[in-house]
Amino acid sequence: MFPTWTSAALYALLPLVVVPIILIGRLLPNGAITVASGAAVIALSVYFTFLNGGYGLLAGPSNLTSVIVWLLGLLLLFAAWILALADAAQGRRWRWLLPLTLSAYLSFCALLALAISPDPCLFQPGLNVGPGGLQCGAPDQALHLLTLVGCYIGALTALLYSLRDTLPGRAAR
Amino acid sequence: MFFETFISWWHVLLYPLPLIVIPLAVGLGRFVRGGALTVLSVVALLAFGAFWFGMRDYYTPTAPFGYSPSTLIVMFAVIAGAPLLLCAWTVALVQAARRRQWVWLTLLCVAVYISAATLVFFEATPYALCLLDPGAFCPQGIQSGQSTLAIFMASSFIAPVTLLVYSLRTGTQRQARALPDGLRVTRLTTEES
Repeated sequence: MFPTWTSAALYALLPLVVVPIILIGRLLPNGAITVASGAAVIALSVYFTFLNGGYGLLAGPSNLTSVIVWLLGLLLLFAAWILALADAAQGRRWRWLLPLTLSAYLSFCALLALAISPDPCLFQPGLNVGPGGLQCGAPDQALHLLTLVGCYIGALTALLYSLRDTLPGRAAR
Repeated sequence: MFFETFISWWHVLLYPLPLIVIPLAVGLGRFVRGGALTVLSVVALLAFGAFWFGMRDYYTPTAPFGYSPSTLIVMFAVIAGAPLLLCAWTVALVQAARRRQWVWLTLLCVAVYISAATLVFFEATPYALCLLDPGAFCPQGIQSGQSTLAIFMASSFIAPVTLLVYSLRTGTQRQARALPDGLRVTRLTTEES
């Protein structure tokens, strides 16, 4: 029983990653949104670059690092999204609400698709699937690209929102 | 293996749908004392209540792990409740850090940690089965009992209740509207001749 409690206690530490993000964000205007969305992009990039995407990580055996980095990306995406939403609502920037919500929804769908693998052939061509030992063919490139873009789009939209005043087009006006 | 069998692209599109309650809560927060934080905390409380309500007959011999109404209630309560709690907590942390309320910030972190640990433990171990189903075969040392279950339930509610108290205590003053895009406040300086 003790090791289970220990692992639960350790997993429950993960949300605390938001605390340093917010404290660092105090130093910048719109800082918490920028830092949270930037950290989410970094976490996702680490996941795709160094952990090979960890596709299907909740469906079968997978390494702990993949699960933790995936969870961190998800947590940071939530943090960036809610901070951007609250800021947009408080500032009555209504035109931002729809893009922020839609992009976050797409990101959650894409991250869920990565985790539970509705299509095991998407990221692992040549994999043996099914009881008959059928082998995956070439992955659907459009679906593959859509999933990848979907993972990033929520965090990138929040980042764009936080940096909207510093964009070149806005500054020239 | 469960997911490999039952998950399709439709599930992937449907499961995140309960999250739509988050922008709605943020919008509704404009009309409520304490703002979005109050609404998010209340909805998280309701979701946790639904979670425990659905858990009552989740582990029954008739529909173990099937798609019974209780299973759906528990699933959607978890899908909506945990992110709602995270969102409410994030908003509260930003407010507390902005107002330099370091004691509140610490309290909020401890409360969320306790609730998160309870929920992770309850969902990821056979403990839930043993507490809720007296007929289940349980490892030694785990005893089903209403008092233990009550402690688990109380622990899971600590975070949303703390967040609600924080939002109502500190939300008496209406927050100033944010400045329009492109405007920012700077300190006035006098030019030295």
